[in-house]
Amino acid sequence: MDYKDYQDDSFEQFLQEEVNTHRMYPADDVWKNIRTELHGNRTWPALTVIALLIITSLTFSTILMTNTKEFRLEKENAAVAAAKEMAAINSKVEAGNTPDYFIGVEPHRITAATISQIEENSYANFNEAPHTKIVTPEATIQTSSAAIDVNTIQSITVTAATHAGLHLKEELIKAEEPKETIAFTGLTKEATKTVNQTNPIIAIEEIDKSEFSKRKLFAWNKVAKLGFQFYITPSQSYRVLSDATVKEIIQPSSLAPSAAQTGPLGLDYRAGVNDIVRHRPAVGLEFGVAALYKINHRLQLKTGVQMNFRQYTVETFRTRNSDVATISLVNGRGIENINLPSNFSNSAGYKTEEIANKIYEVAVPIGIQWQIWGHHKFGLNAEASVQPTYTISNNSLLLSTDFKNYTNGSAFARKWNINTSLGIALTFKTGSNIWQIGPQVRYQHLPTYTNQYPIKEFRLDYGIRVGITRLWK
Amino acid sequence: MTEQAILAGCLHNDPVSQRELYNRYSPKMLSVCYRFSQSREDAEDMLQEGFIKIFTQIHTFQNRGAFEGWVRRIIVHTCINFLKKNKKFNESVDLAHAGYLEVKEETMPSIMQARQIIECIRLLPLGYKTVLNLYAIEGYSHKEIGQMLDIEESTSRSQYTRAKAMLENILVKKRIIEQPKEEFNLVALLKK
Repeated sequence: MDYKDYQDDSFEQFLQEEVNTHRMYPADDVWKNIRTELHGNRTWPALTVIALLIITSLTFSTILMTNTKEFRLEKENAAVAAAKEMAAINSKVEAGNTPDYFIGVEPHRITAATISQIEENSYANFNEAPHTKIVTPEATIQTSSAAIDVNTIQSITVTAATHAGLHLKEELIKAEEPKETIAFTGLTKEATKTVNQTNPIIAIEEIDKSEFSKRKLFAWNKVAKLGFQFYITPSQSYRVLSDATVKEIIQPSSLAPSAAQTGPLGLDYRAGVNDIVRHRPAVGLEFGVAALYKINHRLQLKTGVQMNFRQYTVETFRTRNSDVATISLVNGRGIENINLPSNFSNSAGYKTEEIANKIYEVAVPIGIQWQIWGHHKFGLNAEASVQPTYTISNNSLLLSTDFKNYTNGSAFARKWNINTSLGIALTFKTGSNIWQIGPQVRYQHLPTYTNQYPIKEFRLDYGIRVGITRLWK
Repeated sequence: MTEQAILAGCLHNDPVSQRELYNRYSPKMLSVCYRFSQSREDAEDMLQEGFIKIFTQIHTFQNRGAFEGWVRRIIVHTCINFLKKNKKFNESVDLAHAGYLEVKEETMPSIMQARQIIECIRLLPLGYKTVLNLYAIEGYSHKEIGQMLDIEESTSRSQYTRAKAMLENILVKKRIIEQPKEEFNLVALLKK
């Protein structure tokens, strides 16, 4: 400035020229407040995602619970129907109707209620039994019993007398041995014969239980192919920065060191970025729902929806006045410098301030779960997944490429990324639920910010996963 | 994005255009607010209030003059209204004795030149610097200043004369300017 011999009337001009060149950069909050005043608060997209997760969870759990309920109702209805049917038959028998009645009028219904199981077993020795039974129930029992070995008859006798034999029947059915199946069918008839004379409904209940057991036989034969899992993983988010591009491209292109590099408060530009930045991991969270499909008794495919909340803290210095944070972007046109306002310095300020950089993501993990070991209710699983990830919100302060300031970096954040997760878990089975707990590591493959931003950030999360899986039979 | 496109977007309450306009003018306007304010926080409050007015009243812009001038007028009026809410301002704007305020060398900041001058202006008493900002930098007449600040036109003149003398004194002490020639030394004139 040359203001040596100013005249009185030029004083205003002098002030205007000097003052109007001055610029100050407002804090980010000013625009946020203006925007809120004009357009209201921004809706947080993560809430929508959480709502979707909850809806999905409720839908799945409802389906699972309804399925069990329906199965029970079906069983009860079958019992009632069979009891009514048998009561009608018995009343006809007691009324003196001839066995020919059954053959001529309702042979298929009798078969469905009482003897169809015998036919379906397709056991050679038993082929003639239904016909015999239809003619004379007494003779049927004898014939059937004749086809069964002595040991089986003994067990039938005990069972019929005590009703506890139903459990035995189930055990025999589970074993799926032809001989034992005969024992079951023989038992059914024996029980029918014994109890039928006094209370036909009880007898039918017995038969119905055997019917239910048979259904259960098929249920057991079905392997639980599908599972539904909910999990939550508290984790610590670590990051590693790479400044190779800065050293190879940005620094050589600078003709002279900037004031930030040479001033008394300047940073040593030759030092690595990891030595200059003061960051610490902070607790994050990951939770989601997944569907599992069993390939074989050890291997399961797994996919679902997952929410990630990652954060770490950065120690900065708050500055009284706005500085300019220079971001050098490397792109096809060379190096472009962008100046952004900053109230956070990496080297000096009037007070220290710890900033939490927070990232919210939604991911779709696709992976496998492998059972390494299993004994009774306990087991050990390993799992791995690849996770296409979408960044919903990135509230991060970005380091300027001269390592001097921090500024709002959300505009440079990469929207899509890929993570890989590895974990191992102890499992414990209670009923149809499997609980699991174990360590997990997740690695982010692409840098957090776009390729143009030369300081690359890679993230690694360590966590403990707790989950519950419900098998869907 | 051209200024016309930004204005069209702002007329439709488009957040992107509003952000663009804000990015374009906020650094200069914050500097204006800073000259009027007592602190940076106050300046940012003024700026925030001013931009809300700009966005809500943008339909009143007639395209007769420069848009920046229109923005600046709104910001300046917002600053004055902000200051008027402060009781101290209403008292200080009529002060006459502030001309004898001693400015010590060590209280003056040592930073870049434009900023240094602004900091020197901010050292002035509130009433002085308001009148000086309005007259010398923003270009309002004493009549307009009188209406804006609810004071007499003559009061505005005397305030400005004293403010100018005091600022000269500060700038000389800071060696931003040299001692004016005797006939133009207003401080000396005032002391006489």
